[in-house]
Amino acid sequence: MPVASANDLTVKYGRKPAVTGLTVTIPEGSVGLLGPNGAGKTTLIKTWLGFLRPYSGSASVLGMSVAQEGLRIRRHIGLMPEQDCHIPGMNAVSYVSYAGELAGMPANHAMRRAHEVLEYCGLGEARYRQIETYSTGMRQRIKLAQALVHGPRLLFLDEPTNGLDPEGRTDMLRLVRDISHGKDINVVVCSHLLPDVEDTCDRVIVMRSGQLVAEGTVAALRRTGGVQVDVELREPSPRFLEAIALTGARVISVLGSRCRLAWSEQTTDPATRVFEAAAASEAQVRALKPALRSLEDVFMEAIA
Amino acid sequence: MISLWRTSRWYGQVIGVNDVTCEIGPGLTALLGPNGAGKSTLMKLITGQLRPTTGRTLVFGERPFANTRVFRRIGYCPEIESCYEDMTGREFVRMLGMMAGLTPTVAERRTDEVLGAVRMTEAAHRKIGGYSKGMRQRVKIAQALVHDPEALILDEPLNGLDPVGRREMTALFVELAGAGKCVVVSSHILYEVEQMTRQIILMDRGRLRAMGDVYQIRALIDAHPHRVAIVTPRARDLARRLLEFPYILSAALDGSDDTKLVVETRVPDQFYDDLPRVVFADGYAISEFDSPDNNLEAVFRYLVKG
Amino acid sequence: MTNGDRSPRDAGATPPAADPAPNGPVGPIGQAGGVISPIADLSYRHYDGTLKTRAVRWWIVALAGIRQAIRKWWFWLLVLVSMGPYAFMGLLLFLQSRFGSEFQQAVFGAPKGSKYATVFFQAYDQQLFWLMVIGLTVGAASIAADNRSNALQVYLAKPLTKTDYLLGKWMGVFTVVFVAAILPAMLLFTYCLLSYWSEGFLKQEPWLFVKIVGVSAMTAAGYSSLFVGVSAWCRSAMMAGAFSAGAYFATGIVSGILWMAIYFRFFRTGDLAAGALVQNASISGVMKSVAWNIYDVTIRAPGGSGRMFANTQVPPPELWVMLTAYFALVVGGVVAARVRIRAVEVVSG
Repeated sequence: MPVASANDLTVKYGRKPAVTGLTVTIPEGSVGLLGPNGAGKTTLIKTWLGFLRPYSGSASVLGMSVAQEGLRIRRHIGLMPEQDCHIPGMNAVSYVSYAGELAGMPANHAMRRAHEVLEYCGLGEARYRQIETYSTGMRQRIKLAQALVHGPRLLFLDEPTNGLDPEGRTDMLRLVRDISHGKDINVVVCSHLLPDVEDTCDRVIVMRSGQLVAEGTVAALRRTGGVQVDVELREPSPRFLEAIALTGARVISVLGSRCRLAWSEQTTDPATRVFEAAAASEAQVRALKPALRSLEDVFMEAIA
Repeated sequence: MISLWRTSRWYGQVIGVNDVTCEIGPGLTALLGPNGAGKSTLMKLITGQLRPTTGRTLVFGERPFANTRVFRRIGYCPEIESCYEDMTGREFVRMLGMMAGLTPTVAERRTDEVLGAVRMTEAAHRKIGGYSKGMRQRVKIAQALVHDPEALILDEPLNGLDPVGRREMTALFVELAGAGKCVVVSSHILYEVEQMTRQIILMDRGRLRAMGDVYQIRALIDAHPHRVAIVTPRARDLARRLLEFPYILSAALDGSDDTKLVVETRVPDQFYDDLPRVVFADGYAISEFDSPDNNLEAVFRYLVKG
Repeated sequence: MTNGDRSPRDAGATPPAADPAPNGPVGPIGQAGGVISPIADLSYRHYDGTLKTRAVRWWIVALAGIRQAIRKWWFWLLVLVSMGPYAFMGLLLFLQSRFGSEFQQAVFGAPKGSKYATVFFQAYDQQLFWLMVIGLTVGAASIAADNRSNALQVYLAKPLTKTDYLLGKWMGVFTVVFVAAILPAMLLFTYCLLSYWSEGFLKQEPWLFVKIVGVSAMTAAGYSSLFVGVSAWCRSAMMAGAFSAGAYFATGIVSGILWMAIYFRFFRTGDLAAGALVQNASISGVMKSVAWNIYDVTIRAPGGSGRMFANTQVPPPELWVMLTAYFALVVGGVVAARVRIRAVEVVSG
């Protein structure tokens, strides 16, 4: 069952259309929603959340129509907004249990669940302090906690690593990966940091100017045609490139001591060829990997 | 161009920057560190917004604090998001250009140029209040460039930009650095920084942890020997074979079906020379191998978390 | 402890004790439908418990607002101070009952209309300012703080409509002001009931209790709308407080000045009705006038003809005018807030 869908959806801000005649389906699992600024990703999410009214067409979430069953939908979805959105004067426990109560949980369940979710998100003793005293990393975790507290089936994460330092990013991505795989929650991640999306999502949907331009699994989209490898040498070596070309390889790109090589489909064991060419040209191979198109390349191609 | 000598700055009891000595020259240097490491304080010291409590900070040979001569040669793109909401982008950039000492005609021309460089020419006539996050960021970058400064201090300059924008601005910074400017970029997104430059300054809790080329730094981190991950069908055999070399410290098998092997060594150069010989001699079919921790993120992790 | 996670959909039902592991983790030991492991699985679990229907959502919002207010120590100081006027009136009644009717003449004059209603009205009049401050404490930050910290996104992403949100905020302020208004009044009422029943306390004015409740509710509603309406348009609690208090005082000052000007012009004719309308053409004045009409008393106050500032018995201002102004305040505040509550900032262009 599609987790969220739009059918010929048009949404306007005043006079200006943000999304025009969009038909898209979000499958189960974890999906990355990508697109340049102004592509309509935020508009689409806000329509699903009920913040915006569709001008024409329809949208549905978890099988429920956005136009008619908005309230019911919001019982089963959670939003982790991009900006800071805490309610001042509360500590983490009050805030998250308040969010739970707003979602309809009875007060005692909300409190218990708040603790459970805060524990899962990695907030220990700090949960009893006022939210104003929190660092960015902790605030992001609370945002995630308030989205999870009522046990939603669909989670919208808007720039989950916003403002986090490298350690915080690693932790948050691990958390998102954990939630989106094996916990039976569907996740839609909206982010401009494509490696984050690669890390956490199985599928991506790319939008541009209110239209859908590409979709598919990350694995399939990143596959290159033929046999391609990325090779890194100790230092740049034109002799190596000549030697490897003799084996029938095509040099696709060279950047410093790194290069991307391609052979025809039937080639087996490219590693041996690389080693031989290196031995012949006295170069030292430091890395050898099957080449994958980066998600960024996929993205650039899709919106071009 | 920028030199700090035993510079410290604290706020009451809280230490911002603690005894930092470094020199930053032309080219692109990345300023890294966890939150609270003192990066913003360092940038404020360099751009003359703060005075060091002890030590000396010199920019172009002068003290930067409240020094208009220095201000004219430095461009700063701060992290803050609020702006003059009622001005248009163009007015804002032009105003800051004139504040930096450009005459009105030059300011007008330069405004056009930088707005083109940041791809904001069409939207420049609209009020900043109606800008999205990405557009504001571009305007901020534009105002840092408008007076053609010799040094650029950029705090999270790619924040809010979409992937296209990130690529464009990264290329812009690399180009400016290549033209001889001193560009300092502070960012948390390590994989992006890796693509921009190899020169890093790493701070942690106010102290300077490391400065220089990232790969050289990596080679010097003794506590964490180099790890090389190899994917091959006969991983266990290869492990046994490699352990015969005295410089291999450990070989760990990874993967439920014995296909992945991670070896540790302190002399990676030697290892990379010997590996092809082993492969040829015993006919191992290697599908991939690389060093998972020979990158900026590993350096960061090892040095900051200790 | 865990019946929230796998309980059936009706509230409060617990799974039967006989079945040790219904269809999910039960306490520290257990695994979904399989082998029992001694190590608990503490990773994320689903919540399959009850989710209440809409009816109570706004009360949660209201309760949160109330809790924020009552946590501040100076709030309670304000409440104590606001009870002062009623305590003072109680004291006067006590002294009067001790020292006889000369006292009554001196303080109350010869009132037309009921005596005890006058007492309550005068206490209310003095309390009005403090009720405003109390309302300000709760109301200024009500929506402004949410605007500033972007909390609206959180609220509206939950199964909560804008109406729920607004009603919750409004009721939060209303409840606090209502309780602050009615509590001292009820204490005084009880004192009068116990002490002056024999003197005909309730018998002469059978509707007094209803009037007190009505006046308290009316005031609470008025202040609630004012503060919530202003708060919705501000991004900081301080601005909202400043604007609301500013409006309150500004209208009061302007109406006072106008009244003085008119009084000097017309004092010889002693047109009480016009004078009373102008004097009460302010936020506090409107509410005071409606209460005045409800209590239906006259007060000794300046406004007589002849000597300047001569005291005379002033009747309440024209009800329909004041009632219209009052409803304009209440409805206006609510509509202003409703219009402003948006989860989406419309980026123009």
